[in-house]
Amino acid sequence: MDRIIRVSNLSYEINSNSILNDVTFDVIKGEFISIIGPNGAGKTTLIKCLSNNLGYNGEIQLKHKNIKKYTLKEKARVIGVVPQEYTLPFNFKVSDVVRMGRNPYYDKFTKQSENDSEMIHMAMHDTHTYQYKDRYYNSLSGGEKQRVLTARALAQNPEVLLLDEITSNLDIHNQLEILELIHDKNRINGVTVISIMHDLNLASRFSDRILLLINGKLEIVDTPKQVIQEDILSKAYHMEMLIRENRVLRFNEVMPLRITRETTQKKEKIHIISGGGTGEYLIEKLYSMRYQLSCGILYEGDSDLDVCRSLKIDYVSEKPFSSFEAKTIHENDQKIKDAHCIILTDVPIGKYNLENIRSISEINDKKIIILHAINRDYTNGEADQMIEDMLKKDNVFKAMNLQELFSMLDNI
Amino acid sequence: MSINDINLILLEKLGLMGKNLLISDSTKYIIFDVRLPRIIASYFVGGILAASGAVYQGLMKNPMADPYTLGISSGAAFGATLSIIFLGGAKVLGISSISLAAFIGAVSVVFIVYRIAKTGNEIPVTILLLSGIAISQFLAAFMSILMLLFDESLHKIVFWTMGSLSGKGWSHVYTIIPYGAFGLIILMYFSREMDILLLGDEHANNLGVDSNKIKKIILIITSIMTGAAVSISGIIGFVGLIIPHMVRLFTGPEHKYLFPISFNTGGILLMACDTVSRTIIPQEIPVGIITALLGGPFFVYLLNKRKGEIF
Repeated sequence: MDRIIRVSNLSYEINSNSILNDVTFDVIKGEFISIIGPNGAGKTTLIKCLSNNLGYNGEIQLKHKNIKKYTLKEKARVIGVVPQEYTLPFNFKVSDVVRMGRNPYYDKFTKQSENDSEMIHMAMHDTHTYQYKDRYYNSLSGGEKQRVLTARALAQNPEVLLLDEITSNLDIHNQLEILELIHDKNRINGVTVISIMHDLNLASRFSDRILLLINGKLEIVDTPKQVIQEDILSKAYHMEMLIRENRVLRFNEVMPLRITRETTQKKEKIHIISGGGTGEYLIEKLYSMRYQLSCGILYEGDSDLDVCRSLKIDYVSEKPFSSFEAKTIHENDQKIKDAHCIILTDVPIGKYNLENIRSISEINDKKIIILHAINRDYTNGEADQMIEDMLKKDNVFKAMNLQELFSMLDNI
Repeated sequence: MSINDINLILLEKLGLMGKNLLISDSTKYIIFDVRLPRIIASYFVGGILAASGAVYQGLMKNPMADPYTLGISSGAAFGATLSIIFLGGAKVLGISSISLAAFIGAVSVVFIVYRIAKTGNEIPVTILLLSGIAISQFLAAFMSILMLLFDESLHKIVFWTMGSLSGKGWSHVYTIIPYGAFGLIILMYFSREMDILLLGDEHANNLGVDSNKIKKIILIITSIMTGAAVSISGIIGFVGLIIPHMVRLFTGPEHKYLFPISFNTGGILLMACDTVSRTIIPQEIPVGIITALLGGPFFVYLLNKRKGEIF
């Protein structure tokens, strides 16, 4: 694979404040790299270094040649930069703004050629800006301006596109539209894309690789699957998050939960019996309240299990569509024994997971909270009967809703 | 005197017609050696001010900028003041020392302001603007002190700063034409780069335009042009501020149209104002007063009519 950019030992400082510190990576021709990282991590500075707008230390090679050896025009024929949309000081027409993208190809005294007009037309066509070519740039909406600036960069016919947080000011439709357009340029025309992204999910979804900067240092540059990981991201963003695979679009998705708080773990252990997604909310909520949790027995593929995995909560699992094996049941019993309290969610009970109820039916020395469910029995009354019997005991309580359930946790 | 007489005098001077004996020599002198050079000079002064105004507004990305923003006017006025007070406006090497001192004052002020603003390889426009204002104020204060101390020159100094084209002869025309003509040609040569500079320095660099180099060249060219104009006419306000805006309303911000049309419009406007300045009342009024008097309300009218189309 041919590399198009090599960044070696790149450092940059302002007034002896280090902004970038010894950053080294390669960019392969035709790939889509996203740069992520918290505010002030040096993302924009990195983009400015790549477009050779800053006096940095270290070396950047563009197509195997030091970027400083390029004239501005030569460089502008290889690298196009799409800035975040902004307002111009004077009222240019859209077509004038896009035409400026052809500047690197003009010599003094040469007229605009056929090829120039074609590139300008193509750029406007691809970005769906052709219909506003005679309108004033400043009168366009944010999304439209962003597309015009993209068209300007595309008119440069670049091999590399640098994008500086171009989705930040856009609504969700415009975000997708512009990224799909860039992605098409990347996949179909082989344009290498290096893009600063604030939205981790968009970065994860569209990139071949993600580069994470923290405090001016390169933390990791790898595939989205490797980078979108809790232990890596929590270092950068100091937050609790849920990471799971988006099965529809096949990428690792981040759901930010809350910023990390220094709360001590509670002593109380709670065992949760759930399944089929009935525990997701409860598990996360109890996790945030810093209870020690365990879950079981869950079938593989259950979304409750994804939550447990992501939050690193103890769980016992079993292969889908099978009865629980003795070994699994034993493991689960062990967790129940360790717990101070057991919660049964409104999970539907069938032939196989009836064992989960059976495991707790004989327990008399711990608090058991059963969440009210209208229709959970798929065992011809067997499960309902067991629950009814349990509720007759002193240690078993019925919570009509989650609010009631949480209030019951106060004294376990 | 009829227009036909003027035509006849011009044709005679151009050698297309024999000596006309019906028109007196003094009339010929007034038309050819007093009126004509003054008209040509006013055209070039107005043109230079308008084109430079367009440059400064673009370079500073500020609609309030005009050719005097960087302190050219104070520099010129200061130079002229020194010459009036200490040399009595005498001639040096055949040229008026006031003009020479004004030109030197104008160009050196821009140089100083440029040196102050330059940080590393960059020329940040905000600092350029602010240091221009600072130097201007400083020189204005200094000038006030001089005017207080040498109050016998006060009238002359004040009259010079108001700007006037009276008494401009062919020597002034020959001086100003090269600055105007070559200046405009060089500006036209950089018109595309000037357009791209309006996008911002970094964006210009990304589109292959060396913003600092272009800014430097353009600043040097316009300072010399404006310095030359100011040195022969004194400080004529409003032309450099209003004409570019007025033209932009019709041409848009593209400099390949903005430069030549501003130059022409500015030239014609100053020509007209100068004519008004010496005809409305028996005493000649400094033309700077006329430009402001006529230009101000007209511009307000345009602004009102076409709000939101300039910026």
